[in-house]
Amino acid sequence: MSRTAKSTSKSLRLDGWDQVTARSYVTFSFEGRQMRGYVGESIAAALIANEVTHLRWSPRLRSPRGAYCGIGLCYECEATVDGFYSVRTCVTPLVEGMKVARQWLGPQDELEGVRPTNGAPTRGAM
Amino acid sequence: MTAPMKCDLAIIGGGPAGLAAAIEARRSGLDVILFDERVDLGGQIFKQIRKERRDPLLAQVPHLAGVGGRQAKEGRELIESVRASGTRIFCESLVWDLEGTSLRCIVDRTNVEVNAAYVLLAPGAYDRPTPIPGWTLPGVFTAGGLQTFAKTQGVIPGRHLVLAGNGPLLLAFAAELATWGATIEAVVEVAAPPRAVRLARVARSAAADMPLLVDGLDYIVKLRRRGVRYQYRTVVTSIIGDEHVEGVVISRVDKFGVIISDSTELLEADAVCLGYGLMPSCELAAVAGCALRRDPDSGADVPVLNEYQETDVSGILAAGDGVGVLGAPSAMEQGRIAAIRVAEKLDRLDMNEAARRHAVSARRLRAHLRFQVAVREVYRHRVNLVGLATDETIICRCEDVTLAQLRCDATSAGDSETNTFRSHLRVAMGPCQGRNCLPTLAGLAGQPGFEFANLDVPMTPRSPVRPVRIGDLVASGLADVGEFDLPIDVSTVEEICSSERDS
Amino acid sequence: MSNDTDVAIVGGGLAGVTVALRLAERGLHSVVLEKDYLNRAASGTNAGTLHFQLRRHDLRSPGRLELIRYAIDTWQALREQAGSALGAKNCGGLMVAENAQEVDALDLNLFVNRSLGLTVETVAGRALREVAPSLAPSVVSAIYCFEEGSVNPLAVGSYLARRARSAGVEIIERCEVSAISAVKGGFQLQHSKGYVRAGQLVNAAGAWSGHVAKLLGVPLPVHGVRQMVSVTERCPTMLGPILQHIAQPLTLKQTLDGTFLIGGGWPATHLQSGSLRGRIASDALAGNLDVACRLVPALRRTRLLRSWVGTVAVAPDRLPTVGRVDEFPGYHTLTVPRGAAGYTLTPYLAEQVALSMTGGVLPGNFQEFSPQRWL
Repeated sequence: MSRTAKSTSKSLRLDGWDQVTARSYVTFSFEGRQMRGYVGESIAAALIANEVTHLRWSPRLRSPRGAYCGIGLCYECEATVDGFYSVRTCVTPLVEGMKVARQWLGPQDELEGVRPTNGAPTRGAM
Repeated sequence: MTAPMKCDLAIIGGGPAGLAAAIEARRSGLDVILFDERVDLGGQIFKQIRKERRDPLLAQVPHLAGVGGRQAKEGRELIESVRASGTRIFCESLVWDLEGTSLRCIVDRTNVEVNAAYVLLAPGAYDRPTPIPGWTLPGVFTAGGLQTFAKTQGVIPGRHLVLAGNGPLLLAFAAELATWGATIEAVVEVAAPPRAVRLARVARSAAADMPLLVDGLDYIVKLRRRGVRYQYRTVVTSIIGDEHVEGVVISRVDKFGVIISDSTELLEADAVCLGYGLMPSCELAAVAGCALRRDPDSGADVPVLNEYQETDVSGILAAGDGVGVLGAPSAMEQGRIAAIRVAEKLDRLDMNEAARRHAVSARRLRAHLRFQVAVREVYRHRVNLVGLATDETIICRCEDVTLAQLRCDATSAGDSETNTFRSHLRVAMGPCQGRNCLPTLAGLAGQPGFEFANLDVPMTPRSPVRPVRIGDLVASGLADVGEFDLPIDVSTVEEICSSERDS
Repeated sequence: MSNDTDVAIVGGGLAGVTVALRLAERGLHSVVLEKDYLNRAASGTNAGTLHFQLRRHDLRSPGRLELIRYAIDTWQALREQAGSALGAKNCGGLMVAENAQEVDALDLNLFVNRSLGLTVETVAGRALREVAPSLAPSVVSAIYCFEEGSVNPLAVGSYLARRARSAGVEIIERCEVSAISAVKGGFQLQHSKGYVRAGQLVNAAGAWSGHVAKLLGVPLPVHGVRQMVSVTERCPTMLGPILQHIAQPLTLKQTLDGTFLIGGGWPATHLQSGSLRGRIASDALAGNLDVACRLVPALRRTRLLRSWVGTVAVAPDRLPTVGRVDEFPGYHTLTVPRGAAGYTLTPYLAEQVALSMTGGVLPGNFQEFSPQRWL
């Protein structure tokens, strides 16, 4: 069952919730796609309401992850928001214009030594 | 650098135990500070919707008025009492270390030291991890997680929900969701259908807890009325999907808790809720050096307490689900007992009055415990949940450590205990600090491959007991930094993200 | 469990296990007796920095400084053998300065570093920013040492233990030595799981080496102190070289996992009640983190996940104690205290000790480190 296309079926929001929030929409983007959410709701909730649950990849196995505990304890819901990495989307409120992106903080390869530009020798075997 | 705060009693946790303790302590005029990390008080069980949402909700949208239900209402009354009591309340504050009766917490992006005469730990419990194949897929939530999204955010994260777990909370939540229009494919309870004998015991012990009992019957009626499939002796054995939940495999279990091999069924699902119990949060007690014992019900290492809720470290008391999961009424009585004790020790409550109040609370606590024990009997099961994990199942979610890796480490040369798994495999080295893997590790004791691993040893307790931003800890202070601090090189981040999209 | 062996080694950290491995390669059987689980004290709790260039309070004893070149070669060989098993990161090391006085101190160090055979140069301005873009503007200059880097002490410990066991070394954990006596043919050790007789004995007990020496009746003024190290959550790549400060205690590095390790010898304390288990001293923690995020401001929004306590050896003269004592020719000590870059030097020193136990002799410049000096 694909979740990439925006579904035309029943909304994932509780029926009547928009009355509660007095229709105070904000727009934000996820991976470049424009979306709408309510001001002050959690980023994770807004994403879920927009059919997005895959928020990041795990470090070693690169498996897709999303919100799990909903209360900021498991750190599975972390995404990059406005360039800041590892924001817990389930406890962070949505703000107009936010740019949200998936993140992967995988293991770093053994980095090539960065050479100072004034001519010091490059790194050898060590 | 802020000056340290002082008080008679510092209460950590604004759930039922902490709230009841605050009110009781204020009766004796103690100077009380209450810390909670959430935006609102109430803890998990008394989840509150933000006020600005709740009032229009109640006025305009009757069918959502019950969101949170009776418990939210009860919680609201309790919270309002605490707010009116003169307790100093700090929400959105994170206690990260405890040394004697001196605690350190982050309040308003600043590191604050609090020197209390007495400290009451009431941090509550969190959802037990359920490592089964596919449990890390997006769309899988803990019971607490799904409830948080539904009740405080107004989002039900799926159109084909499967709720799986054990105990009355599962039932309650399923009924609420059904009332709000969620489509529930199935509710699967691992225990057997309640036997008359056990239900009778519940009823007999339930005088004090009658409202809870009535709720229980109400839930079943609600589910039946909506044609929601609710079956007993059934467990989720795996969750299927590529990037998101697509299906759930359930199996029936026999009376010995063994899976019945031809009873497997695949259900369509796009969201799964796993609620197989709660784990007490004891990190602060552990880091403060309190003596711990293994709680047979949850498998957690909980503080050893006397009848006054005192730990063996002078000045530190503990109460509520954080010392053993016994529900809100028990938590409240324990909170009261602790506060009475502290008031007496501070000579703010006469000895005889303290004894009288203690006796009243202790009696009520015993009654609640009887009810809890009876309810627990109803839902007791024999399924080895940890045994559902397969070799490829991820046990440590943060660091992607599988059961096969753990077993390989346990059977390789050298003595093996909880902390060696940490140092060899990075288990419990991620941001959840072991909350979602250590209970499983403890449950692997005696399982094939782990016979010689000493899994009774807890992870060495260290601070911070919750991840804390370094900027909030340092003396130099960050007065002008808001919610988001300096960005790292954004191009690096975008590179990382885009390279993943291309690969 | 053997009751007879060629060599009994007390201490299962980097020193003890490396000596055992080298002895096995030279045909001697050994039993390593470790009172806890392997690699739990200094060897398993340090931040993994390979300190080659001169640090702020390093003793400029010629004997100790001469060891550096050999230490570099030893780690290089170890890494070539182990491949990626050590979690080694080799992006050089920066010793930074923030004001004119500190820059002067760097200039003095540069001379000494060069004489040790290190590939070092001063970097400042744009060159410094290219090597480490995440450094704060307050850092005006640094010595970049090409040879420096870091390893993962947990991975190193596991790797060496595995190799030692494969080579026939017997390792007994959770086994505390309670008595040592010199007997005909060597030594007899009583321990919590039995006893062992050995022709030779190595004291590689780190912070407890003073205590172990005392069991035999040999003076060794080494005791333990607690230090703390902290680790953060994973971050995107922000820092290549390891960082140290010329005037303040700090080691700061980003590991291959992406986490930051923050250390530098800051003290820890212990629980006041009951167990005397080590715990973090909050002032020290704030101080350690303060220096770290002053140098790399992006750390301020990084989450601290855990601070732990390690026990390191302390000796009055801050020099290693390596070699024999006249009274017991078969008894060898290998202890490197705080201030002498123990983790960096130990693999080389352990190799030398093993050599000296199998027909060779310790290098002449080791005289300065002789255990005889404490008698």
